[in-house]
Amino acid sequence: MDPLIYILDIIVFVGIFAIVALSLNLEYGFAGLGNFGKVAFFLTGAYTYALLSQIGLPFFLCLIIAALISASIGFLISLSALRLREDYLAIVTLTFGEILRLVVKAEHWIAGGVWGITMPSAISWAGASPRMMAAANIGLVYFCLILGFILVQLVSNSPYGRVLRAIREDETAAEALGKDRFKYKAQAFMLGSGLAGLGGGLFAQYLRFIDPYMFLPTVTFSVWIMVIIGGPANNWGALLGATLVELFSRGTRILKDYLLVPIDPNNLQYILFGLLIVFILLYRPQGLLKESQVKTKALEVISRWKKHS
Amino acid sequence: MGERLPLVIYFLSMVNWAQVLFNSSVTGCIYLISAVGLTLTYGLSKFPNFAHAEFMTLGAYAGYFLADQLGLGFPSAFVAAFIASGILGALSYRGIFQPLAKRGASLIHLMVAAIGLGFVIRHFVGELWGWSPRSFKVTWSAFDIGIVRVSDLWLWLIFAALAMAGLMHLLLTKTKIGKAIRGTSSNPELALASGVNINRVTLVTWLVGAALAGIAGLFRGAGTRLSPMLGWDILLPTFAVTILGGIGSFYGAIAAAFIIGLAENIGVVFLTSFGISTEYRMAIAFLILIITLILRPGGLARMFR
Amino acid sequence: MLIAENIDAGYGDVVIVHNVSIKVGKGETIAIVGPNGSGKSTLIKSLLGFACLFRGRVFYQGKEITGITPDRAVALGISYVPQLNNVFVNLTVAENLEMGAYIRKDGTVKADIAEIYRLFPELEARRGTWAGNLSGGERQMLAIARGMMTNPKVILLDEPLASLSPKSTSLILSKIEKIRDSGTAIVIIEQNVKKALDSSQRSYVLVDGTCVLEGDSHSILSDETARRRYLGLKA
Repeated sequence: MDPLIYILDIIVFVGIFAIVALSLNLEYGFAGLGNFGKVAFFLTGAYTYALLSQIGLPFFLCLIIAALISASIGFLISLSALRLREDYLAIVTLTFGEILRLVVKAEHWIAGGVWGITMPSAISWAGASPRMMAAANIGLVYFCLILGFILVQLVSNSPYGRVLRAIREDETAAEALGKDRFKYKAQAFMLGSGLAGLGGGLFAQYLRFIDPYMFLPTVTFSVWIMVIIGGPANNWGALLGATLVELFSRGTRILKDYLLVPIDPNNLQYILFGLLIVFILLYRPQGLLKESQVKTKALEVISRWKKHS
Repeated sequence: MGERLPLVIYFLSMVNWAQVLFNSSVTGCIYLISAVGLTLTYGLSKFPNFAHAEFMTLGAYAGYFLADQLGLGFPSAFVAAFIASGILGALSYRGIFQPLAKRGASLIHLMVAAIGLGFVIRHFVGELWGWSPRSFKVTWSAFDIGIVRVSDLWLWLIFAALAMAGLMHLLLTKTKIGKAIRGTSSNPELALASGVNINRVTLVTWLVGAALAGIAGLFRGAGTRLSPMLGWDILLPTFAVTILGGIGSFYGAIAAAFIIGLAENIGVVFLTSFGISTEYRMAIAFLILIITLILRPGGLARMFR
Repeated sequence: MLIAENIDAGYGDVVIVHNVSIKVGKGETIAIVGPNGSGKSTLIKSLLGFACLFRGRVFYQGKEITGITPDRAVALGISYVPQLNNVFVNLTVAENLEMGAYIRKDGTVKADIAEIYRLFPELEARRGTWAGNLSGGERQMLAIARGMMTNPKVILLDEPLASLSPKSTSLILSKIEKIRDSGTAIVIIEQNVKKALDSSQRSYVLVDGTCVLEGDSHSILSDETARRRYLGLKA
């Protein structure tokens, strides 16, 4: 395989999963919601994109609708699930992901069931080489990533983001302040689901083929590792986490190709991931990067004043 | 739908309901054995241990290793499953969950750690025995009792579930540690004030709970096939039983296991008669889980304690 | 028997109790009274390790036990009956009593249960009932009875009269008197100042985490300034 394409491929995947990691960071890091069914919204985005692109909608419309549909499923789930206790929310979202995968697997008429679904190439032009296509994909994915990053960054530094953190820290106190915590949680969940759907759409767009086996609970788990390694409630941490996890997972595969380790790379990867996460939770539960400080005008003035004095 | 209705009625009239009832109790027995450990550890440690699935998986493979690969015969599989999963459960608590709880880990961190542990075990099993399904060499003889077709494996399972339920009942009501398990689960602070060594009680619970999960996994593996996903495949109904029964409630779990076993088997009959994929069997447990959480988050526990 | 000197206590890094000293002797009943949030419970909980003890020393039977854990305190003969959640709701009355005797290895547990039933005949009638199904008064009796089953030399009762009917209140108070007559030292934490002072020999009055008054219960109760300023009683 062309090594440059391989590297471009890694860059695309880092970008896609960075978007999903940002979405989980918004839900978990800022609002304290334990969504263990992230893959469900990733799947929704991917299948929406696949079905729409098959009927010939332009790719950007497909992506937007994928995000919107995913967000509305997030909204529907949040109606009942967000009122639940933390552990119940985890169980419900986790199993929801499994049920959704079951549906696309069992219902052949939706998108080919176990056989998966192929879609036309969205980004192609006459004489495009694989390298140029990959580069174009990087452009698209990173355009979306930057938009998504600006969005979550704005949200987390706004008064709104502060309310989310307040809810995460102390529900009763936040409620006493007159903030309807349920409404805010639902909004964060919806926004997070939309972003995950966008990630799913880009995933389908890039691969041009998806099947139910791509949406195993392992996806959710990988995204959790990204957020926890990077440091929850820090958007840069989510980007860092996504990069590290993706590089790590490619690394184990390369290890297999060049070092001939007598262990299946897929097994090795998840054994190491599992050990890593337990290790981090035990010894560095705050992740690599600290929680980002809220940026406000007043705080800026104070810090400038501190510098001068 | 309209023209299908007579067909559905015809189909339903042909169903051997005695068989459905028997199958339901078989399903219920597996769920009971798998859920008892989950509900007890959940009640004591206050978090859902997603790695319970892999306790089942390991039990099944440990049994397979002794019984088939070493050729020691099926009864040895029980011993292997019980011991291997029990040790794994105790080690998991001592090595991961107890230290995490001591460091003040949040509920979400405990759940993520459980998923992480599950991945380690699952892929470890995948590495040792491979990802392609395997099955026990033992063949089970099937015979008819009246109009119900049974196999000796299923009779063993029912016997094992009854024996387990009886022994657990004695453990929980007649022994000191059993009462401490129940008491600590509902009121840890008072247990401490009564001089209960909570760490030891919890460790014993994890050991016994995981060991039972191993037995459940073994039956599941013997009845169907072994795969690294074995435990994960029945984790959802196990959770449904735990929550419907009320977290920490052994007696609630008994009732819930049979309710869900019945719902699944009757559900499958209806799914088939309407021509819907039986893969949705899992969705039935999910539906019960959701309804319980919304309408009665405490489950049936108040009725059984 | 139990002496606590210069205690600072609280939760996390919040100090609630400041420099309080108390002591209780054999066969004595003391009351710790004060308004809600004055730190009465925190003080007692910190002595046993349920809350943080920041400063001060605790002695029991002449030995220092500062920083003890709850389960070891029970083993030494210090029993604690919490205000809320003070029974195992999913255990029967009889099982609750057995849980009280959890750490005991002597063969007299059965005899002691019989003794408890003599003291609390109301409980014997309901021995097979889930504790969660008991009435408020019965529940409080069971809580105290469970505390007594540890075979304590000193028993700490956290608001034993809270939310009880007048009839149950006098019943519980008469039981407490009987326990004292058997030689057990008793520490009562109460908001019901009148009742607590009436049934104790010495009292400590806590306000905002400091001890504002201590001494003989009867003289405190008859001191008009104390009644008005700290106890909220009419002169």
